Amino acid sequence: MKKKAFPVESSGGTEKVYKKRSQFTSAMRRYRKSKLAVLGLIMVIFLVLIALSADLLADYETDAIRQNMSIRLEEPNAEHIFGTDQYGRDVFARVVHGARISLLGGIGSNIFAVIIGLIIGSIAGYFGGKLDNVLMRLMDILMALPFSILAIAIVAGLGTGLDKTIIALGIASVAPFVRLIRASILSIKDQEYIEAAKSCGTSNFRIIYKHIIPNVMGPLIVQLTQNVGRNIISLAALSFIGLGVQAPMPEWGTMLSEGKQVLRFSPYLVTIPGIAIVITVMAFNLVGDGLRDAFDPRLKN
Amino acid sequence: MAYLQYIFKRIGAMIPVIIGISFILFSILVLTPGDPARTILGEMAPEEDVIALREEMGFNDPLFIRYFRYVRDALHGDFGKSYTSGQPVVKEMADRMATTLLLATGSLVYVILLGVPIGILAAVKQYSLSDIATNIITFILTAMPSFWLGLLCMLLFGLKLRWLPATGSETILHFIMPCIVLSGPNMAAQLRMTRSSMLEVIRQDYMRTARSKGVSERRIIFQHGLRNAMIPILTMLGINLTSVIGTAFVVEQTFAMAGLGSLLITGVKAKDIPIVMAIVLFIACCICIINLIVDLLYAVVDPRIRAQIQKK
Repeated sequence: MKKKAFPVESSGGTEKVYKKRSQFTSAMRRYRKSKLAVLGLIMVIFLVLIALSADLLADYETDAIRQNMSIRLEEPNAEHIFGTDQYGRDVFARVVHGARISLLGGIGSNIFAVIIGLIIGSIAGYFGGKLDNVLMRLMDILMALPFSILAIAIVAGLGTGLDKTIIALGIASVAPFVRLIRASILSIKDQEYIEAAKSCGTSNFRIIYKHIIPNVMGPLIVQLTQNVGRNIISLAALSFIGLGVQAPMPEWGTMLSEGKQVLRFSPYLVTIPGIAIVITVMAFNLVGDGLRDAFDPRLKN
Repeated sequence: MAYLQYIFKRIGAMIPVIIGISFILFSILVLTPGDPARTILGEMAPEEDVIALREEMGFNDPLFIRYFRYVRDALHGDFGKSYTSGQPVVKEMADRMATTLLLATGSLVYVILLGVPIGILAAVKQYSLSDIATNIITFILTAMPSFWLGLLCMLLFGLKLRWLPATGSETILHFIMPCIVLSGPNMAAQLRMTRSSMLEVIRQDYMRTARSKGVSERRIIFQHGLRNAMIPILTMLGINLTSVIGTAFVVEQTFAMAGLGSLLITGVKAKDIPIVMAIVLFIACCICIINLIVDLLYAVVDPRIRAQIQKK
């Protein structure tokens, strides 16, 4: 039981810790073998760097938000490499700051869903009984609606805006996480090492947190990355129809809906943000597929 | 008889789900901020009128009473009146139903006609050039938001080439582009699933046996292969039809079509509770029915499942 006192590398009593780690490293080794997955990871890192350094690339207030009617609808040129929109705002600045919003929305909504999913899933799976039944029926109800309809229904209640849209997308993503976590817990719950932990008087919370959750991490990360792309598209779709992020915030979907008004004469206002969405979603899908194959090679076809 | 029993049992199982959805949705809409009486009368109406209307419509009653009143009326076919237009919700929906149903069916036809055959072809000729090409195209389609694809098509075919009308939903020509756009990501998913399901089957021993017996290649693929790969393909078709219905609203909005989806969007914007409730419940019912049909189709394509149902 003095597992913690040993460093991971040492032998003997820390076999379990060592084994778990090797499982993770072997998954990473498999991941590195796939060129597409590595490409996806490089793209994601690149996008994250852009999002983090958005303020260095272009100033939010002056370039992305403030209207400047004297330079409206300029085609891409040396000064404005992606051109300007109908309010004279630099499209490059808006796309770069939009990356921040999209990544925040796509990843944030999923992290929100994972946290809620971990809480509900571990309660349902670990304690079982009536509570489990009630919670799982609730998840069945959530899963009976398509993802986007569920999100739009929650937006109908909460209202629009970045924070509310992220919460709506997060709640709409919860049910599969709950199922995943509950199923993993049910399969682990009766293993001997959990029983051993119980017999030592470990508290329920500690068992869930220390012994169960690390075992669920693999499938959880896979599901999370696979969801990110979908949630980025949904965030853009909700903003596009006016129910998500509101103008003048430079969300890619909002930019597309503004670009649609001048589609005939300034098509670059529609193509550029769209390409940004496609590249971002592709990057996350590549990473998601790569992680799935790495964690569960049997699924690969 | 076993089938009828099975169907009734399944419909019986649908009822709690629909009740659950309606209650959760109703609570979300009623408990969040917003004043329906104000929505009905408009911003300019005097405060006394708003208070009077609130009392008259029972907006001050507790949640449960309002919910039971809603369910009672709904069971009598009365889904209330739209807060914004004052029209009965059923009438508003009936006017727009055809557009959405046509859009969804059209997309499903594309999904079946393109997704399934190309998927089979890609599996049969695995690692060929055409397989790699379809892989790349499906990958791009999966990452493409349908509304952006819609805008690009609108730009190319509607505004530049002028082959098809860019927006609206008046004639059948108006539906060609939206249906393709809506089916895009779903077709990609269908194709992927068909391909992997066929690949699974093609490796089986009985395929080799059939080949060694001298069965024609065509018969091997369709009779021995496809029939055994049908279950995942059908499952995916059900999921895709669900997703087509679930994402139709974005495409309707993109192409300015007067369908249920655009009604839902205006309803959500104005917090028009009867409209949002009725449309979401309608979609939920559609999806329950689709799932039931898919389960019944399993029994049609797979004798093992048929036997299971009959045994019960």
